[in-house]
Amino acid sequence: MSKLRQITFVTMALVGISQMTSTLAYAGIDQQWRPQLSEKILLLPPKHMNNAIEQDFNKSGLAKNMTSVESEISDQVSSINELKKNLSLYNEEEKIEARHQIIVGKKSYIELLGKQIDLKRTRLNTKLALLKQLDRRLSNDKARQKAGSEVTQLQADAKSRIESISAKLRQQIALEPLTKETNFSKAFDKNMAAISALKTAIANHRMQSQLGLDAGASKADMLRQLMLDAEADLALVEIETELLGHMAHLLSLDAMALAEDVATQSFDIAAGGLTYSSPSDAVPLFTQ
Amino acid sequence: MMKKPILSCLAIVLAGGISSSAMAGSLENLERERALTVVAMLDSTMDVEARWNKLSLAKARLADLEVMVISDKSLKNSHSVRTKQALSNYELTFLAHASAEFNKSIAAHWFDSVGLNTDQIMASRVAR
Repeated sequence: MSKLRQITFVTMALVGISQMTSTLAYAGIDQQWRPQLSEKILLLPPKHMNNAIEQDFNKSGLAKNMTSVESEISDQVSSINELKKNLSLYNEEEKIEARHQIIVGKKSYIELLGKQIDLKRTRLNTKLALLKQLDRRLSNDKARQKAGSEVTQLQADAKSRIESISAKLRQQIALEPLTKETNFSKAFDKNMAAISALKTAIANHRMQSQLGLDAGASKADMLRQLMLDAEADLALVEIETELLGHMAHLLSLDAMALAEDVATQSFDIAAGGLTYSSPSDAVPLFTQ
Repeated sequence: MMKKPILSCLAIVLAGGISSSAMAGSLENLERERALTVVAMLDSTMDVEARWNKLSLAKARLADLEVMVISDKSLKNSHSVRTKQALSNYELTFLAHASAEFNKSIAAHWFDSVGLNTDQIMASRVAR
């Protein structure tokens, strides 16, 4: 009976541990940005491609993580500012403590900033990889289109010739006593008229000019521009890392200054404690 | 006992094969109709009226099928030589529209295109 209880306990413990690890694994996955965009993004107008990518990022765990780190950073900055503002109101001992708190706050701020920079780098690298993948896809599509362009051209030529003579042929067929106009022919004419009306409406739509479809910027140009932007942002992140290094250097100097001030104060106290009485101080006792 | 599932599997496979073989492209349909039209043109057993009726009906059908071919977007992805050749040879592939363009009957236009006009026939000589 006790053996059974032992087995049950061990099984429950194992299940608990496995669930814990799976939760931890999911938490790890959630903090990443795995773009959910398909190649269909290439169908969007060039101006909207970046918006779609940013929208996808905003839905990711990485964006949530960056937002929470950002709010922690702003909290840290406001608490450091508050401590700095009240520094003049404190006495010497409290001032030392406040300075210590400021240094601790700055250290946390630098750590958070470092974390944020890492997350920024991850975001930009993911975006760059996505853009490169889209660029490859676009190049492949172009190569395929080029291969099929001969057939497309031949079909377009045939289409223009047929369209120019279609009305005449239909008239000839209608004049023949045995043949009636086919259902396909009737439906085709109707649909072609509808397509033509829609094409005119599309050409005259005010969004047509705003979408930048005819602005001369192709999708490949737009992708290249986005890649350049992402690479420029990555270069800025590297500069921010350098900035963080200087901040950490300054903070370490601040900490050393605080340590020296604390040491000086303790030396003063120690020096004050070492003043022993001299016979000259007691002379009035004897003279008066 | 095992026969029944095997038979049903075979039936499914065959049905799939039949349905896929029944699907034909717009160009294949046009080629088939065109071939039947040419057969009707060359059929020596058919009298003039029957041929005229048949070609009139074929003209209407060919006109529709030709429009289907030029509207078929799937042809753009086709890299077959047959498609390229068919589209390059407008006069013979789009028989109904090409004949209307030259104000000729389908038969006259086809004979002209393949080089079987009166002058050429008269200029030919019998050779062994």
